[in-house]
Amino acid sequence: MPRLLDATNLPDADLVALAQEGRDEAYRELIRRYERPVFSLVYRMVRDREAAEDLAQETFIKVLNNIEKYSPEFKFSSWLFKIANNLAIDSLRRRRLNTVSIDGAAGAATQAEIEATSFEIGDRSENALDELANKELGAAIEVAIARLRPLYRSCILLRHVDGRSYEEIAQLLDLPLGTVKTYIHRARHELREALEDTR
Amino acid sequence: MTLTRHLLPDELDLLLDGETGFGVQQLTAHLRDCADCRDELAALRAFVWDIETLPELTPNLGFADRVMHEVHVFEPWHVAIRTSVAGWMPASPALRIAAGTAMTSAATLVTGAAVWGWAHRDATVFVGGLVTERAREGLFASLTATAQTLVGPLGSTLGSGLPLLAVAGATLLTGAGLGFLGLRAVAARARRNEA
Repeated sequence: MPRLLDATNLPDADLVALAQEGRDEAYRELIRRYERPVFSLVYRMVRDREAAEDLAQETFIKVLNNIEKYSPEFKFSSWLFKIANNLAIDSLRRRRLNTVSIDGAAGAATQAEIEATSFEIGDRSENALDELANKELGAAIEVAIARLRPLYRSCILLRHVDGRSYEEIAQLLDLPLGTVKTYIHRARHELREALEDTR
Repeated sequence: MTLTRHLLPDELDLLLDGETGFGVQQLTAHLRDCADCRDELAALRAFVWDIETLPELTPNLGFADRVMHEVHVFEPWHVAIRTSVAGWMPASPALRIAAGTAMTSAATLVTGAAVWGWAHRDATVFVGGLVTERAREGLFASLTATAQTLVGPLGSTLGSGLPLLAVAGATLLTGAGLGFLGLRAVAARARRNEA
């Protein structure tokens, strides 16, 4: 029997090495450590709790089932966020094809499903939900972030919510460094403009 | 030389990001003299702080279990061997030392015997041949006895030799086959119960 592992204090690289040796506790610690950041990023990208849960789950399954392919020269979290972001972007693309609108996703049958999936990028209508959200700055920021175009949204979330460096974001999104900087600056200006009335 | 105009949004972004490259000194110098730009940068910092302090969101309970249900935890063979060996190791240090000593002694004996055998190759080959011959005879005798017990009068009729060995071999193979099928059925049932 392998000795019980106190994984909570280990760095990611050591946890990954243990996971590569088939240690179940290491897998669970990696999930525990990143489930909230990954879910937060994906949720803020797709704005649908159920879809975000599925995408976050898919992210971890993809990463952990390919853990032996992980290369230690990159940060584990960068790899994880890259896959999470790609899945979220793909989901948004599919959803756009499915004509997502303020009426909810095409597959939404019940009122609850319609409400859960009601979301549109660039929708600037002042509905009751927006008015309510604007009363709280945090909620207003969430709404404003949701209205950014997907790549701006990824950049701003990775930079200011997850605290990634510009270089890391460029590597993660496969974009030139200059483009990432431009996107983040533009995203900040769009957000400030959107939030001008609420501050 | 300081700037005679207010800072542009991109220039404020440079300061916000803590850039230190070419031209930034000029911007910081302007900031020292311009209260409006200082206020603007402070507002930008406060705005970024608001984004950075957005709360983390939590997935539904049991998220890790749902993920782990779909993850195939794979233990490489070298780790499996290491784990098995570690499992045989005694827990107490005294017993570990005793086991280590016993294993070292056994390894030394085996090595010594191997070296002696190599140094006396002729004798080793002779003794080895003798032992093999005896073992073969013993095995044949025991197989014949087993076959006679199992087959009885038929064995006597057929007499000793090849037919008897063939019958014994077939019996052995049938037994092994049935045993294998039985084990497989038990394993399949265990898997079904687990599922």
